[in-house]
Amino acid sequence: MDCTQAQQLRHAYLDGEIDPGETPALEAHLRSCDECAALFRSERELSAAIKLQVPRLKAPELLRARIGRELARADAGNRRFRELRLLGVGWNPLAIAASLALAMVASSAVTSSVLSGAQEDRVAQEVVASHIRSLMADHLTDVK
Amino acid sequence: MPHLDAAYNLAYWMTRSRADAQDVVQDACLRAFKYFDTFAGENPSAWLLSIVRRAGYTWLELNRRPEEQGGFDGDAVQSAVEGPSLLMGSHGLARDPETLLVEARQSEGLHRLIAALPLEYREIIVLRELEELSYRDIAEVAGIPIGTVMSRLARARALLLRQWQREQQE
Repeated sequence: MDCTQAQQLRHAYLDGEIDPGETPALEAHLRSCDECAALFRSERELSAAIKLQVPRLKAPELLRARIGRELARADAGNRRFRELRLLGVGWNPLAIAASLALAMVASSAVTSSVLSGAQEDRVAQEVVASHIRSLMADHLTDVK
Repeated sequence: MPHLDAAYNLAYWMTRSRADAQDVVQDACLRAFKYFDTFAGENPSAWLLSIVRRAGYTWLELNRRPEEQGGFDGDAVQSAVEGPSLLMGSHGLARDPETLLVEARQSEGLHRLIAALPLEYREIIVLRELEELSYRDIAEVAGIPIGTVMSRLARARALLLRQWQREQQE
């Protein structure tokens, strides 16, 4: 292996992306070539220093809230359709949790509708709406 | 919502401004929402980041100052490193004092050196070193072949390393 070949493999090696079949040849080259070995050490130091010194930013809470609101607004027209579809997808634990919550809200709304019809409905609707809004934000950003 | 952090982080490093990053992320989320039905890939996280990246490029085309355009050579890196541009908003307007202070504190060491990298190298460094994405995911996010990811990463690290070592010697 020459230095040119080693140059890119060095990075793949550093990043754990090297083809295992190429590892022995690269390691042999790094043992025999001081220049490449020094570069590799520097690159490894740089990579570690970045992780240590440069913090990964967290999204501000206000941004989360803003996006949740915007998505809810954008979806106002077809919320009902979206809600059913989302719950049907089922890959998101939140969707499952929300569907359970919806079922509970729905059943309690039915059983207690005798007691206080309109008000209960409105509460249920609000609960559903807020669940869906939170689901919207997570649906897009927290998918695994 | 860990992916929102990733989205925000990428947008921040592209625009080099927290306020602008928020606009980019919000725009990207709305786009993602709109086109979610057309998503057919297997990695939603990379898909979302690719939308953030595109939104970031669109934003930069509309908003960046002329001197930030073009130039991938060492001189451009040098002038960006030494220039006061990091203390300015992308519109060239000075920020409020608090933001200035926060950003000034961050305009040190490696943070400043990464911020000064040309965009095409900066985004690769952020995706690899900060987001710790695999080469395959980086390729998907940036819409380039894995070979290009590797060559850009090598170039980006070489540029960064040279500046970093120069600073350490001073």
